[in-house]
Amino acid sequence: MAEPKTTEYVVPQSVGEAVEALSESPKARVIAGGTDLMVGMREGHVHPTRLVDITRIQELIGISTQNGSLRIGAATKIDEILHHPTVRSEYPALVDAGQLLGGWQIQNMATLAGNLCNASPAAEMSGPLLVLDAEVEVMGPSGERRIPLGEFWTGPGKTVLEPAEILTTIVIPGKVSGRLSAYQRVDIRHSVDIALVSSAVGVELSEGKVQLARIALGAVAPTVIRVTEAEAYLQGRTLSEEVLDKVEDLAEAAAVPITDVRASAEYRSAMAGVLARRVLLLAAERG
Amino acid sequence: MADKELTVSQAFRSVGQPLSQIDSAGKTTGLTQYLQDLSVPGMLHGSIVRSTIPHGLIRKIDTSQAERLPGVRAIITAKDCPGVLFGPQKPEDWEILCQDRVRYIGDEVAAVAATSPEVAKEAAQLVRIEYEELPAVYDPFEAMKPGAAVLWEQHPDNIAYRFFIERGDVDEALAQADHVFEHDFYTGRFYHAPMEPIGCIVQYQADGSYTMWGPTHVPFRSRMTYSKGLGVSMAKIRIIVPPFGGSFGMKYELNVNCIAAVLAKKCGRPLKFFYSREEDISAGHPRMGLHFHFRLGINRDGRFVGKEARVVGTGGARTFWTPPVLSTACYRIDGLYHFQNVRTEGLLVYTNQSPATCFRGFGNAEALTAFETFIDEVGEKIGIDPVQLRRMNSVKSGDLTLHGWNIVSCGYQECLDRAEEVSGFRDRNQPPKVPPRRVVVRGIGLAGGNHISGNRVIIDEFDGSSAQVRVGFDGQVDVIVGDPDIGQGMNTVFAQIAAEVLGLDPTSVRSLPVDTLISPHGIGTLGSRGTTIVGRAVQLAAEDARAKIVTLAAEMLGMEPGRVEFQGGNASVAKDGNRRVSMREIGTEYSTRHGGAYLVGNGDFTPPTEFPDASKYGNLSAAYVFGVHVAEVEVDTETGAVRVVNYWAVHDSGTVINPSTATGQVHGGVAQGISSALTEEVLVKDGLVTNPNFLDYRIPGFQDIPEMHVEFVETQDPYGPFGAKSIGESSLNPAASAVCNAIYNAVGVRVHQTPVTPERLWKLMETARQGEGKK
Ligand SMILES: Cc1cc2nc3c(=O)[nH]c(=O)nc-3n(C[C@H](O)[C@H](O)[C@H](O)COP(=O)(O)OP(=O)(O)OC[C@H]3O[C@@H](n4cnc5c(N)ncnc54)[C@H](O)[C@@H]3O)c2cc1C
Repeated sequence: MAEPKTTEYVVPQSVGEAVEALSESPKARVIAGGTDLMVGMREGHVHPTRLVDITRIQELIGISTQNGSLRIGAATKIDEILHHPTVRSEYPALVDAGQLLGGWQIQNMATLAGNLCNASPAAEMSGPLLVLDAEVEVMGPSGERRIPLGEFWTGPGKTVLEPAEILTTIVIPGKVSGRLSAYQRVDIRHSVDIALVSSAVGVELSEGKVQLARIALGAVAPTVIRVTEAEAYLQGRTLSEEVLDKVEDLAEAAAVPITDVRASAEYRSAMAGVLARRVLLLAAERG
Repeated sequence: MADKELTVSQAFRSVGQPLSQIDSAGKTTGLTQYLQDLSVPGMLHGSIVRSTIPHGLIRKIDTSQAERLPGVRAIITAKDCPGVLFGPQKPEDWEILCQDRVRYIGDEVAAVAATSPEVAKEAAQLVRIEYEELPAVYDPFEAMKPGAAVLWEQHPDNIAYRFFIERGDVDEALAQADHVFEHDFYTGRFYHAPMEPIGCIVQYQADGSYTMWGPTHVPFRSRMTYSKGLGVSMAKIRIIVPPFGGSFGMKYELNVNCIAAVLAKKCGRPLKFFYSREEDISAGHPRMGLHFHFRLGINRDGRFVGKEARVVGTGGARTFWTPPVLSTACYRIDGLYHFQNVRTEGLLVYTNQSPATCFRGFGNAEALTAFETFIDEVGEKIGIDPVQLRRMNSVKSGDLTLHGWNIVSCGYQECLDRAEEVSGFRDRNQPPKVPPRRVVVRGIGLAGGNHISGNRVIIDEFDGSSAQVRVGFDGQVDVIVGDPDIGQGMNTVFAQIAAEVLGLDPTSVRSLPVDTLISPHGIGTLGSRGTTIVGRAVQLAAEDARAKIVTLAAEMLGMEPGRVEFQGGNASVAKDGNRRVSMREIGTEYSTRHGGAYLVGNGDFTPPTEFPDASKYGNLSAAYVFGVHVAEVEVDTETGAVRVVNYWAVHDSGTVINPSTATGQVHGGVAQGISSALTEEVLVKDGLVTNPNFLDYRIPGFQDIPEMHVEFVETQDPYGPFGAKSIGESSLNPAASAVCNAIYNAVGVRVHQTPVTPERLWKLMETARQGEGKK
């Protein structure tokens, strides 16, 4: 039978109200910028009976610092993040990625939380946050919890969020300030496209030696992944040609991509290596 | 954009002015009413039920569930349609709705009329069709093999149309040539991507006639095609052309008009169809994929002595405008270079894909992509600069070509000279032997092209156009033609032409929209004929009006007609200069004397073209145009990503009537050409379009298009208005090959297929590197 055609739209003023609005209706969905959700509804992939708009909830809007960690509210737009002085100076990977996310119109509407909750393996902001050891705070009917971002996704379009749970805040811990970071993607069109492959790197250097490395790859697995082999290998090494070659190989090996209309698995694997090496160098150069 | 200031001939006041399009205020403020903004009282909305399989027999159509959906007013199938095969070209293989067989995913099986587009779409999904699936074929070479699935029994080899041309003795020429080179190239399926997808509104009247609103390049020809399909006389079909939301060759005759007509008649209500983007990309009518194979004989001194070519087109399941496109792809290039001896075979092949149609460039853009990359390679192999090679072999003013085309004026040499000079192409680096690693490298590429300004073979009956220029009671001057402005600015150019003759401000002149009930019979807006052929008719009509105005003014002023002169829209006295009558007074006087009639100037122009004989000999076009493009690219040697960073285009379009609209044509043509070279391709897997959206079908954005430097070299040509030739299609033609040649110059690998996506270039570079590694 045809799907019900009316969709209720509610605009709660607090997180509590939002959770309640979600709990009442089994096919309710959070809507933030709507830049993924509306496309999905138009294409008939999702059929929510109720949309819960979280963009008017004041406590979810804006960026603040608390005990050195950066807290980004779920309803904060990508554009606001792009212009935030701390983000610009401390977390350039987020700027690299945010600038590539859609065009200006999309950046004005889209939220960071929406990008994470949509759980696309090609999502722009996932890798950068992963290499910054970000965590997300979640509120639901049974209270609040905090989830390391690395445990947040379970597959394409899938997260650990329970029904009626809302991602409220993205937290970048204070300990990573000073970590160098960068992000790049391979795409086809230079104005608005989707990553065929992407890579984010976070790296801490001391006298040219790697103290800690985080390498993430996008669009080469069901979720954004980390290349832990390369991270471990880099420990204590300098970024010589030989080391970079090895990182390239390890990243390529870590990629388990599919072939689809956008690219072949072969190309994606090769680009995973190319990008990991490139972005590692780019991050290191920012030191 | 840093376009060179054009020098405007002092002799002209209106011609040569860079006016913005006279309808741009409406278009930029949103007031222009496009098809989607229009509605007719009582209008319903239609949706097409499309085949979900590539090939099969229709066993059963069950509409009962769809009929029960509230809001559904009528559903039609082939049973409701006249069963005749018809179409715009031969072979005629259109059915309004599929009678017993579907031939592509998207083929039209039934249609629904409902009270809203949403209900219509939902109902269309509820129509159940049972098929008996048949084997399908997608590759044209597979389709031509014995034993392949056959789409049309009348064509057991799946060849819809065969083109053949031969002049001289190619076998002998190639046998004697110092060198013979071969080249293969494939240009992919390419979607027009107009902002406005396909659509129409159709109303059925009690007298058995139909009124159709919708953009079409060829309203009068459409009437002819639809009248056969619907089984009514041409007079029973009225086509009104609203402002175009883009087309680029897509909106000629479209079967949806006939579907809408049958449905409108059945439910007794006017009806609108408007495709979704997905429908427009996947079930619409893109540019066909074309395979080229060339053998070129060339002597040591660089002279071409013979060319053999085979061109294979993937036409899809039915025939739109692909036969003339294929022909053009086969031999238009023979009007750019003297090959001495040529033989070309063209094959248009049926496949289980949506039927392709024409696209700006009409096959010649594709042929030039294939040939201009080849000439680059040949020049390098025999050690002659490819620009020199072009100079040596190209046609010149006054030449008669192998196929009897009179090249009255040709500025190709000047375009080559100027393009080389402004772009710095001469100082280019040698391409690397092997693609380097881990760098971004620059390269520069040049390519040339030609085109026509009108084409004798568009319709059998005649070549030419007619126009009226009329002055009303209120002094308003209107231009009336039968060939619609398709968004490129033709109406602005017509206003300038009429204003030039009548000494008026061009912004005061109107060009009226085309309505087949009222407008003169026009061949249509295609073959880059608008400014040249229709424009000349407008000029002649304006001159006729002017003569009538002079006679009337002389009477009103009580003087000899020979002493009346035109000044700023006023007919005034030559000597004492004080007495004058304005256009308004002329209009009122004429109208008053003649019971309200307009003062009408008539003009018609038949260019000196010849219908080709059986061997295809005969002058095709009123005027031939030329252009040279230079692209500079940056290639990421690790990812294969190409960015065009600089661009120069130099064109010979004769007199440029409006430098602003002409330059606009070049900007658009180059943008389309660049993305045809790099990103745009309709991808089809087992008959299913896999990228029917603008995420995966990548039209260019601002960041993909570089600054362009556009120049014109103005030749003198006798036939077009004030010496004007054309620009619409020639602006696109050389672009893709310029980009491909630039890629070669950057990384040293030749491409043989467009688009050159990053992955394709990466593979080519990897192969080249591995080949080098083995040595
Ligand atoms: C033209 C265009 C270009 C794009 N380009 C890019 C690009 O380059 N890179 C890229 O990564 N993405 C791109 N996107 C996708 C999209 O814009 C981003 O993923 C965006 O960040 C989504 O945010 P949103 O606020 O619009 O999410 P919405 O569409 O509102 O929501 C997305 C999903 O997350 C859920 N959700 C949202 N917020 C929460 C929350 N706080 N708690 C729980 N669930 C939540 C929603 O229910 C929904 O399922 C593009 C989209 C478009 C239309």
